[in-house]
Amino acid sequence: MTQPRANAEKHPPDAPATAGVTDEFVRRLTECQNRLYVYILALLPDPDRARDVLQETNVVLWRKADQFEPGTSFQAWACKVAYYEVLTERRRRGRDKLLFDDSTMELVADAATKRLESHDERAVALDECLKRLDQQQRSRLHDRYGPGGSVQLAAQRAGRTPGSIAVTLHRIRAALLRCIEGKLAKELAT
Amino acid sequence: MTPPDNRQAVERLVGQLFDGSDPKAAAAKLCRLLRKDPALAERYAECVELHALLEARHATTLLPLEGHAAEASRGAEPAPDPQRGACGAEMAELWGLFDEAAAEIQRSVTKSTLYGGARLTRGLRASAWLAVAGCLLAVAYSAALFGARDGGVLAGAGGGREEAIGVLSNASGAAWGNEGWDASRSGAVPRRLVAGQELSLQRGVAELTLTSGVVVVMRGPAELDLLSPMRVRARRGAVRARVGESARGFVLETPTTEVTDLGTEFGVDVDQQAGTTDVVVFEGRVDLQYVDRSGTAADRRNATRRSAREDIRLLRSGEGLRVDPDGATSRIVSIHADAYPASAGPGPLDPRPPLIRRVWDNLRAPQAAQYYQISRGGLREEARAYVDRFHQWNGLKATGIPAYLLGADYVQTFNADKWEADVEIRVELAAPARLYVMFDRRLDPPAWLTDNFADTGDKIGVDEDYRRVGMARGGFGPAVSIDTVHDIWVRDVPSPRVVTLGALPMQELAVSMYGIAATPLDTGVARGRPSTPSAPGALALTPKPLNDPHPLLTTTPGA
Repeated sequence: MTQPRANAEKHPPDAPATAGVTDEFVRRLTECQNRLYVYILALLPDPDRARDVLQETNVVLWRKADQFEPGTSFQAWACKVAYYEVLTERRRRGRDKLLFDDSTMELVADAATKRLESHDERAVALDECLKRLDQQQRSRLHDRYGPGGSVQLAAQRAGRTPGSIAVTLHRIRAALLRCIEGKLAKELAT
Repeated sequence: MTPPDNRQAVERLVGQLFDGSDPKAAAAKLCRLLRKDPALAERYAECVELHALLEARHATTLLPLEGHAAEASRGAEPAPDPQRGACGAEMAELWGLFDEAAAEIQRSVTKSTLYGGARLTRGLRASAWLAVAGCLLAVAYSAALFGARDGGVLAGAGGGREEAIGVLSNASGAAWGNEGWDASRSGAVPRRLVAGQELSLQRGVAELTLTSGVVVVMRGPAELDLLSPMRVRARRGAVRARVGESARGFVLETPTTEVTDLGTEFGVDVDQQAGTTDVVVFEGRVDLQYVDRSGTAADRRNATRRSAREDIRLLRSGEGLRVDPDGATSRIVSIHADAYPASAGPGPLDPRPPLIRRVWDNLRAPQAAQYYQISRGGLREEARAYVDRFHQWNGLKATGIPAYLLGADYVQTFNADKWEADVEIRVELAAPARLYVMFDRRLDPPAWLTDNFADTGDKIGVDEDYRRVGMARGGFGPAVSIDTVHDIWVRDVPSPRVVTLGALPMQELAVSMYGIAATPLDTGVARGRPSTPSAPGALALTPKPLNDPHPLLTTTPGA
């Protein structure tokens, strides 16, 4: 619940708000947070580091608000900034921590951008699909993704090994993916 | 055409990336696979997206509570203890310190309305992220979006627009009574709010950011009237307000009270049927005033004046009161942390009912207002240890808190109770549980502990130095700046009941109060069993029958 002060002071509340920060800008920035996180996580599949990059991206977007051209895609602009922030993070952390090489990064960036178009629909479909899970499956997901959650915790709670819980989680996620696909296909067909 | 096998291989590898022990190896394999078949990149993106969505969906949990969020004490409390005031001076001094620290933390951490904002389990990184996101929002909402503090007209907006006093900044699982408010889409849902607007949230959680910088989180069913950026009326339901320094004086009114903020985070829960209002303070201070809204307007004005003179009550962090329709107050003995959501995270997915239903003690006088805080699944690194301190539970070693305690339900006790020679804390368990007591190892364990609990051999630390907390990243996480070490004691409680815990032995040393935690006890396989080699005692644990010295106070299970 506590917080390194050095970080907070890096971006004090009285930091100058740039000229382009309008009602519209803030709305768009808030709206695209979810998609931006997914985009960054795809490029940098480490949730902690991805959140760091998201925060850096937000700061850059904020500072460059006046460079955004109304009428163009905010998301595309934000993703472009995020892409460079991921590259900066790679440089900062050194190549030994790299997960993806340059060409794979580009490939993934393109694919992620494409996928984001249907992000909201998929999120709604997921909510529906989660309702279909039984109690035990929900418990497993909660133990893995809930507050303080981890594969280790899920394994502990289930009285099983982390390896076997990882397999269970994989199966649940696979079922959710199929379910989401089914729902979207059905929507397209109607 | 991509063979289905390869798509499944991507799913599996993404699983290993996030859940496996060797993400680097999984990434290398993914790289090879994607290079071979670039069409798989979309599948990869889908799998990552699912992971992110699941993270967000589970970031906060809500308690399936019915009616009031808390248990009020009236009629359930023993007689006042005349010794209770003995630590007044010490407490007053400490409170000053805590308020300072609270203000500091409040300044630096503004919980975010954005993605994953509620997930504090990652400790440091999440906090860092939150701070910046919070600053962004604070700047965004207060400065640019709204202009002046008292509800300036939206900047950048054309003429003739209605004056906005805030935005609906996030919602989760929200069903609105307000026409045309569809909040079924995930994520942030910015929506302009104007003065005089009446919000009716049938279920779910919604978060409002007002131009004053106040963040209001409402948990359905709840009804709220927006009067101004500095005044909101709660007619029904649980509402939590986070008020920064800039909005001191913010008023949350309910049918029977006015709560005036003095720089804080607090909640109210209005039970429309019973006509009661619960007021609980999480950080900082509020003024609580009873207001009789029956009778004529003149009566009410007079009553308010009278009340202002006589009945203003200062409530501080860790205190809560229930106000009856006639203005009588009673202490709220314990609250469930997630009854007042701190943000509009995703909907309730945790199917487990709370293990610890209620906690109370034999000490606090009726005029006292302190509550025990019960956090379902809340025990983790950095979890706040005491209601009246900012100390945190942390693992002693880099491996962290023992795995069986992670995600346990736990109780924030009062550290000041370490001085109380006669304190008895009663914990009502709602289901078969494995009950843990984290006991300061500098003390000789008292008989109530050794007779009924077994020492697991494991330990947990308390990081006491809250003043250093803001300094550096290195101050966080397990094995860092641990000040006191607690032994973890355990006993199995196979059926729902009340368990009574005793006092610390008297000593000269500066010591710490014990902590309380519980995990589910599976009557078949013992879940959450300490399984580390260092916990030999727990494996063969046969708890002795509990000798409850106060059988009359034991409530019926399920009551």
